[in-house]
Amino acid sequence: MVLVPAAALGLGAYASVEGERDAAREARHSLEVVRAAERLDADLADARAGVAAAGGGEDRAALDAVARAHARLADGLATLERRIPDDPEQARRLAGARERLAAWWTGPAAALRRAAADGRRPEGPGHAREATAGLDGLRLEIGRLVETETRRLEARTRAHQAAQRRTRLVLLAGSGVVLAAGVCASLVLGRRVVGPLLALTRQADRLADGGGAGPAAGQSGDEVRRLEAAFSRMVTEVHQRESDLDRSRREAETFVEIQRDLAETLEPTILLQKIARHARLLTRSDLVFIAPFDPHAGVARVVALLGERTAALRHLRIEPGRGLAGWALRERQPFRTENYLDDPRFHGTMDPVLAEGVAAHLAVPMILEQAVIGLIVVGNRSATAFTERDEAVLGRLAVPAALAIRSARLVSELGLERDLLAVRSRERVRSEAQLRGILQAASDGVFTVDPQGHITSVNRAGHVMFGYGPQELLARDLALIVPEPVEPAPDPPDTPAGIGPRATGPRRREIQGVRRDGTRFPIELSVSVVKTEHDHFLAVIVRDITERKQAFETRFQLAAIVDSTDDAIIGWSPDLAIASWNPGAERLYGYAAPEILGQPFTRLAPPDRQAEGSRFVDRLRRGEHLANYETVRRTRDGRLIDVSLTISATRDEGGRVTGYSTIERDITERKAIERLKDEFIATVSHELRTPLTAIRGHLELVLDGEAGPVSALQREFLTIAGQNTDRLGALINDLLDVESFEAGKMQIRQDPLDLADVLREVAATFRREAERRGLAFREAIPDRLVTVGDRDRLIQVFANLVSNAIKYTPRGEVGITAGRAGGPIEVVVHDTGVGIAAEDQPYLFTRFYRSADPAVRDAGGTGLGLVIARAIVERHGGTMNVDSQKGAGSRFRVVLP
Amino acid sequence: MAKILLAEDEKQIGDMVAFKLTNSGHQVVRARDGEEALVLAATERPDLMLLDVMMPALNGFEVLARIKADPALAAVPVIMLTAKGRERDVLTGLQAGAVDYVVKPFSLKELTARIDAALRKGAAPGPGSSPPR
Repeated sequence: MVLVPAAALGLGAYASVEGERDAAREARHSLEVVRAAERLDADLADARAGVAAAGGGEDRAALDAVARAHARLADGLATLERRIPDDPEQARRLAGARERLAAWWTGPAAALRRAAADGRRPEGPGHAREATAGLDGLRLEIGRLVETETRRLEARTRAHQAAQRRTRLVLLAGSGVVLAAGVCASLVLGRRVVGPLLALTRQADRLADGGGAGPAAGQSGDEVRRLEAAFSRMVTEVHQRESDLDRSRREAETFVEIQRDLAETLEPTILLQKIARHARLLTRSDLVFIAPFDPHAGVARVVALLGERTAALRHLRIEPGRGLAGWALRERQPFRTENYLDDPRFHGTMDPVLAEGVAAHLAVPMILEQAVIGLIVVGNRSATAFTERDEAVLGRLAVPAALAIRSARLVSELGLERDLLAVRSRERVRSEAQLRGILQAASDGVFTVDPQGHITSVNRAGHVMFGYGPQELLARDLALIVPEPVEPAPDPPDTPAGIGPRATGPRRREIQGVRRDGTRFPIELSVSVVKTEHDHFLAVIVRDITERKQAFETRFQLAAIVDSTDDAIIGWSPDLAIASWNPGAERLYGYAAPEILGQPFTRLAPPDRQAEGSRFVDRLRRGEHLANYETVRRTRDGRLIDVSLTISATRDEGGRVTGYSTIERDITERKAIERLKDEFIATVSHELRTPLTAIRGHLELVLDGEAGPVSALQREFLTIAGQNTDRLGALINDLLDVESFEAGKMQIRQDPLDLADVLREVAATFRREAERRGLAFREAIPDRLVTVGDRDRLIQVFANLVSNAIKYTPRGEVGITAGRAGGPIEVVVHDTGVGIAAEDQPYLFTRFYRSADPAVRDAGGTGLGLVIARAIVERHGGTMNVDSQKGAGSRFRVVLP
Repeated sequence: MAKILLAEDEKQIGDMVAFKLTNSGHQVVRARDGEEALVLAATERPDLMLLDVMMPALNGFEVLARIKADPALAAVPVIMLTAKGRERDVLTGLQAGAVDYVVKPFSLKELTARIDAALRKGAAPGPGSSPPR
């Protein structure tokens, strides 16, 4: 039969539903026990207050309060005992509590009463203390009882939830089976129903045909009614179960959601709003509010409020004991009523909730760890009653609401939230500021570029480097300043972006950048692709490497020079060890770099010049520059060579000496040539002078008549020959002098001397000659002009000037004027002669220059006198210049220190 | 009248100087090189010597040094004749003990004047290390 499995399933479902009911009953039972016990706690508190008052000798009223509290306590314990007859542990505890209560009542409480009855004050605080201690013991016992029962409550609640889940499953399966069973049943029943109906019809037909109605008709009618009733009962039951199931599911979902929100949401107001909305939906109420209780102010204030026409409730303050919500707050238990105007707990206090026309009312206190956290209140304007189930739902919503309120309180008490936010935002601002600062201070240009190649941000260096003003490059094409493609096609967009921005490794290249004025310069480019969640951009870092390139090129050029020069270029460490050795040094000294590097200075110096190195260092330290210093060095094979050295100290950026470098040139050959030249000049001058000596001497012998008498004409001719011999001799002397000072070999003595004496000697020598030519000779020389110098050389200078003056002055006068103008001595040799043409003056002190003027040429001379004179004056640290006009005489001025 | 030793390798110049000195009343002894000059100086005991610097065998400075090193000859005044007009040479000669230095080409009148001066100075008590006659 089809009915059998259907019935079995139905039974199973029923058993399951029954199980759930039992679990719910047990849970509710535990809840009631806990609440009853908690009420005892309030009574104990009353008793305690009464004892305290009585102990203070207050009045009889206090003792009455104690008595009333005792009665309530005894009553409460009895009620509890009735509620837990089948729980031996709790029963034992309860019995203990009753014994304690009895002992207290007959012990310390009785003593208090007797003292009061006798009209005397209690014996100090003794009785009261005993009474209080008894109450505290009792309270402890009841506390333990509550604790145990709370644990049971939790276990039973869990059991209830499990039973609910079970029921849901069974019912799901069941409803399917029931549906199938229904179909089968309707078929079977149909036949059974149709059968009797057909019979009825047949009977009716028979009756209509005039046949008598039999008991069969009645029989059939009963059957139909029974069936109909059973069917409709079944349908109602299934419908009810489905509805309950649906509601349970919604509740479960709600709690899961709230639980998740509780874990995720830090903002309690939002969570409370959410809980209020759920409460309203689940209880199908007109209005709902949640009011956290402020223990300091002793009042609960509405924070989450939903529903129509609730404006008056927004500022509702609920005080314990005032109004219906106040009652729930004080009594710590739910308040539920259909119409609270009729409720005995309503004492006529005007309640804003009432003013909103709310009739049905349910207020559930939120209690956490025995502290009242607040209230959830729902209300209906119609008198649609709230059920026990609604109460249970609110009770469960109260827990997350209470947790949210408490954590909000903690957070606000610690100021945690505000500080956290402040710190976080401060840190963000600071790190952003730091980043911006770094970017602005960077010497590299930093650009971000969108995928289309437009510049989206640039730092200061980026603008300056390319010659643009601030912000001028924004939104411009990067190709404007970096014409080469910066980045080949970026990675395909289907590359997983991952979480947060992601950058590829930078690519670094050396290319050309273009400044605003079109000039190009070398840059080093470093490009990264930065990927964000939605798109990507390029981070481009540009470094100006002009200087680096130039430095590299300069170094390259210098290295090439050092490598290719014939000169030895040697680097020295500060303690004069060889630090670098170029190919020129290798050629000069014969040492290869590896065998000489690190060797001391003395390795290259000959034995008599070993100390030269430290002398060089001393002079360089004093700031001297040693250029073309000529000395002797020793090569690898022991040969001595002449070298010319230029030495400089190498310094770091801070000016500290990091070593020395020498450029050494082989001058052995030059020295040999110089020696050869010296020898040649000596030989030539000797070979010229020897015949000149013979010519001059013999001319003199003839002229002096030592070789016989001489005619006047012969004398004249011989005199001319003699004069030219003297000229040749002078020329040879001048040549030797010029050679000598040009080679830097002219020796100038530094003797103290009286220049006035020198000038007088010159004047005496030439005065006669001048007068012989009919010239006036003027002389203005002070007594003494003391200076330092070379007497013979100075005589040579002034003799040259005076003899020139006489030579080029046909008539008029010549003269010497001397004096000390402040520090230096000034000597002027003047004449009224032919003068010097302006075009000749620049060449006056150059070798062998002879004027084109015949008056000058005829006077003879070597063309070297003035050159030598000026060189001598300059070697004395003085100057010589000329002031002259053609035909107007000359003034040669010599200044000596 | 004095006995003068003339050391000059150039024959024509030697003849010329000897002609002038003989005309001036002096007795002239001729040497053609440095070695001969030293020998004649020792044998002839001249009152004065004229030494050319550039001579074969021993040059004038070397002869001067030997004479000054010989106590018997050290006091004889020496006048150097040279074609080297360089200061260095002049100094070398004077430091080595020559009383005078005459650069070629010279005037014969100037030469005889210097010889007369040196002879007069030599007749008077000599300066420095020269012992008095």
